[in-house]
Amino acid sequence: MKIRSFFISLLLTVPVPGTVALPLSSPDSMRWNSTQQAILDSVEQMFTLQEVVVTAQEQTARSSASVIGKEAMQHLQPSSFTDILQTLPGGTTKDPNLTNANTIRLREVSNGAGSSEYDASSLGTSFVIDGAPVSTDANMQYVQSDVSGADSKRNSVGAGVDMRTISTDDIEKVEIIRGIAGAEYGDVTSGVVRIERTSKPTPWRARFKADGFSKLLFFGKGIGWNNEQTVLNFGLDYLNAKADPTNTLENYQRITGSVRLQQKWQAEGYRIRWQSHLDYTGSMDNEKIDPDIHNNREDSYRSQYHKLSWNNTVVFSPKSRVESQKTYFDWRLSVQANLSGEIDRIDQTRFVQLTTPKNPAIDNMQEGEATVAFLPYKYTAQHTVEGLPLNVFVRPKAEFYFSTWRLDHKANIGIEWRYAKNFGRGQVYDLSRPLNYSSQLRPRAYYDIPATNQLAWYIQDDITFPVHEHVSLDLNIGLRGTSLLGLGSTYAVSGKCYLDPRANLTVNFPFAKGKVYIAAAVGQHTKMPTLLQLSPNLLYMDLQAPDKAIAPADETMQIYTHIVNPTNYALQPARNLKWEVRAGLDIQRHRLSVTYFEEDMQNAFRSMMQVEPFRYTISESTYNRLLPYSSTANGSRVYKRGVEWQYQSPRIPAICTRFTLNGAWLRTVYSNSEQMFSTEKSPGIIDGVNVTDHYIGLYDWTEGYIRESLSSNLVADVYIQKIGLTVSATLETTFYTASKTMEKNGRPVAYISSEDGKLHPYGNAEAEDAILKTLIFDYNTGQFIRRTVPFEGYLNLRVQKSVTRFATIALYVNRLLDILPDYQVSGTNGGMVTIHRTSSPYFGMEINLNI
Amino acid sequence: MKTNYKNYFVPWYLVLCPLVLGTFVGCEQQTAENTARLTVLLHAEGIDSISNISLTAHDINMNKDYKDSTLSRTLPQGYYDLSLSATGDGQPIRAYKRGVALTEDCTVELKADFVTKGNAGFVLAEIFFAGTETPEGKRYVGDKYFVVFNNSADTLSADGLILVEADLNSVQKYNLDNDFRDKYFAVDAMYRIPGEGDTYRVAPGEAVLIADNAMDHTEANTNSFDLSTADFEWYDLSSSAGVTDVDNPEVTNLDKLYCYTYTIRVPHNQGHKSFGLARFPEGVTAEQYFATDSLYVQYNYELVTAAGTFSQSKKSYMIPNEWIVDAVNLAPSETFQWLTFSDRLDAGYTYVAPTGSDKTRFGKAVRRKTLGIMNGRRLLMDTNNSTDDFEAGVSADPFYFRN
Repeated sequence: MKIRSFFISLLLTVPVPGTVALPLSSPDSMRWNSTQQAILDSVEQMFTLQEVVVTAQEQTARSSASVIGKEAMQHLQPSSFTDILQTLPGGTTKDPNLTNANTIRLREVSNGAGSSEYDASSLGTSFVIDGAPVSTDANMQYVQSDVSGADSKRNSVGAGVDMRTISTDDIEKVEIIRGIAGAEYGDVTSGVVRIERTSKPTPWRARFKADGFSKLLFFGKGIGWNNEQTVLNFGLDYLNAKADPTNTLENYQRITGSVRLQQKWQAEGYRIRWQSHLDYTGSMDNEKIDPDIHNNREDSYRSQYHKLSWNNTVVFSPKSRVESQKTYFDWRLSVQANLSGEIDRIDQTRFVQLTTPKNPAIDNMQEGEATVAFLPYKYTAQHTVEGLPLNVFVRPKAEFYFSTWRLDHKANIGIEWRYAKNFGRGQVYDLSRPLNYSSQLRPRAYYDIPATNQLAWYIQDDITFPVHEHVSLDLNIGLRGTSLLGLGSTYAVSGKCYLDPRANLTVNFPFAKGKVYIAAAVGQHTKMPTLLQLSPNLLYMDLQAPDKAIAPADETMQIYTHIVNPTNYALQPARNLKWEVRAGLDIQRHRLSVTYFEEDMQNAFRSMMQVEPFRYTISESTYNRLLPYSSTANGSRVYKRGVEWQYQSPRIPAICTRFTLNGAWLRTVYSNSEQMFSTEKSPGIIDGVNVTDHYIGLYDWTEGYIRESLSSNLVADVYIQKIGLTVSATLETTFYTASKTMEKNGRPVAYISSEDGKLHPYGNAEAEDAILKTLIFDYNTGQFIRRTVPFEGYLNLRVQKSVTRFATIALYVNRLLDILPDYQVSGTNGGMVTIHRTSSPYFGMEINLNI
Repeated sequence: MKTNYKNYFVPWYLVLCPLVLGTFVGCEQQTAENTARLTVLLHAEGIDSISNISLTAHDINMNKDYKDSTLSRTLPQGYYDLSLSATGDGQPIRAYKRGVALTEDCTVELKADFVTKGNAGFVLAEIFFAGTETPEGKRYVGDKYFVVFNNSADTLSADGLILVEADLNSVQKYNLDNDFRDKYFAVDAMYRIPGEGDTYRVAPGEAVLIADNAMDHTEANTNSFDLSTADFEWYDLSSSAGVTDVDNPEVTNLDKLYCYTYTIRVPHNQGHKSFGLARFPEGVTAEQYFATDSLYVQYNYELVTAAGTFSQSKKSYMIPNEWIVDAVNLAPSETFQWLTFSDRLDAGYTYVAPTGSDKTRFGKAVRRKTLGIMNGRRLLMDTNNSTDDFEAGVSADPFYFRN
């Protein structure tokens, strides 16, 4: 607290010098710049004023978004894209964890959804690199029978982009749109991450970073010819990270290589810009067991990922500007095509020994009765997952710049085609030697899964209306339509057009020294299901006769295989309705903005239990039972609310220091939005009756939890150009985090019985039945109390120093100091337990060369 | 439980100084004036004559035993476990008290009881729950077994004897809102020996071997045993082919009355769950038992963890304590938290390893101590305190008690 009041008093006492007025928009700059580009202009202009910005900047126009420039990224010293997210309002510093998949959670409490049932949030965050979205719809790299093994923490199937694969060194600028994105961005629910990479001549750049867990090496250069009509950039990056510095057997490696060409042609009547980017990303996760100290010497896991992406953009700008005294008209046309292919492969080997006698080796692929042999007592299982996703993205678009009456328009219309297909062989293994012998799964070739073809169109208009000398309006309205084509009429989603209307209105009150603004935005967002959600693998239910035992001498057993298609033909896209209101000011380079937002995604994807009554015959005896299985449905709700704020001061010349204060109050409700079957507390066998084989309750409850936090970061960064020193200290505070499990009513509303396969209402008579009474699940109110973790604070330090004209060294320390007061939680018998918290610092350092 | 701790950083040498000094001082304190007189007052209800008294005082800190045949003696000041054995009316009797602080002269009351509480007769003699390890270092769990022993002088019928597993976990303490343990034994599995009268007669000193799978396990794991001659096996029927159990047609299956899981049941391999033998009273059928609402009890509890306590709710089938024939608490010796049922059924606990995940536990069992051979039959120790009654972590031998 003392430190902050010191900073505030500094702010009040140091005189602020006059600033240069920044042209926010003019017809000329708008000719090739969007409104956002205008912001970038102003950022660039600050550089010329020796204004180095080492923190994220809040965008003042349109929707809430954070802009992170190259200087800020260099100052952060990231290993992967994940490290950049700490600069967002409400973001907290996390140590790189490069042996787990890293997925993005915008506007959520940092330890938010612990369950994959809410992955639609990260799946619906679009990463757009140089204009082309990264698609993960065809990602199926998971080991299907190994839900708790080495693969479980590394696969990101259905959870969007694994940010470990994105290197940061070629990035020029990142814009993270947390609010309502323009209609040109589709297939999203939560937000958009726009990444622009360097496309200009640069000196040779080299970077070497090391911390306790990883090493990173990068070099790259940009070359220009013909007065920069032709620019070629290339970069190469290598990262090697370990889960534990003393263990060389579990690691993650990444290689990225990028070649980017930009060619401009100018002729009498037009200009053409062609950008062609070829990118390779390779990564490899390894996990082995030390052969010297363990018996399981064959056991290993290796996940490889090789992606080649070719992105082409052609922009045609005719010199067709028509201008009269009051109006003008101009246009340009561009086509973007992105082709990306991956070769993904997981190889897992495990030495398996049966823990109980007589387990069947089930290789039956047909519906019906079958005779199967037993597995040997020990064997080595080999499992390969081969995925060859291919993604195509094509978007022709036209942009128009014109004025009507006193309104400036920047209209944009485009059509998009997205194709996703996986040509891999899928899960490849010997059915008679499975990795996990109790799972009832069958391999499937991924190339048999139908491709998805997504066709979308959008139209949007950015309108600027200078109402008055001191009032101007910025209105962005857009409409986007998205359809999934070619799925066949059995799918409810097929051929339907889902409309996403979006609007942002900003009212600016400019005056001599700056401006004040208020803004409101609302928008619908739609994310189509992935290939695996649309076409899940068939389920093979292998059943046995419950009354016929296996004798020790038996060589085979009789089973009945029932094939269930868990495809949910009624599956709808996940849709998120977002709105926000903002207010801000930008006066003499003091920038403040405060946003209140709400996002309600009521039909996010969730794996939900379905129950099918089934009758089967083995050796001429007939049996009834219920078959529970899971299928993807629109059953999750993610309801986010919050307030985000950011204040940034100008750099105060006397102390060469800039202050940035940002933070957020975030509250997220994760819940189910439909009635659900549950066997959560069902008993097993009562008096010889297998309860879940015959009775399953349907519960009308809201299974879910609430997460909340209030956090704030105060950054003071000092830039002294004379000695080439940049130092930033971040006081990272979380005032509280809270969590609560939502109340459950454990009394079923109905139950399904295997006898007739029908749903029956659950009444008082059932509640007294010796078996049906066990379907009532008991919860006590104490399970649903809100638990709060109080204040925690850390001081992080980052230093960059030029040591020669060519070299800069940098280091960072996370949690150099911590403020973790003890707190009390409820203990037994109404007593209290004191919780003592500790933290450990994390260091990294690097050297940058510019030759 | 209230825990309150803080980390203070103190230079290491400051910590070391008192330790070093303390060692010297501690040595000098072993003098005659630092002793106290211990007097034992023995309560022995219903016992007329007591002879052959042997009192053992175990100094916990020095790990030293002091044995005496009188009930009063002088001992160095310290912290003691007391155990007394004697002969009462011609039968062995025992008494014990743990954690007696002897700082001055004092009198300690001990309650003596017969070593065999003969009325029940059947006891759990050996429990093998840890499973075995294969020569390749993997686990094998299909060979677990229980040995039930007739510790009485009469031939008894084993019909209707129910092997039960405790629902509560010995290493996870619950703070129960309604502590039912005085009345009930909460169970998560009940397997009953079939028969309704005199089908399965067990002679005095004879053992009954109940195996998970009565078959030769040495084919799967050379470190295991041949259990094909077991007397009974528990068999879990299943309609799912991914869950298979083996049923030896030569060996009688226990009736599976209740189990918390519908997959196959294997006893907890780290010994966190306790076991008992029970019997429904005459005339109570399984159907009546499951229809009795008062024996299907919902209770709230607080899960006690380092991060505070967490409210939970649970429902368990309950067996009244009077129906329990014998019970044995199991918990790893270092992670034991609490007795999951009444201490009148078992006041102590036994184990195969100090911690649950200890890899040396495989192939080890707990076995009831033999008091001796009386009139040609083996007599096992049964003081309702398995800390005393059992040998912890013996090498498993399913046929140890077979004659």
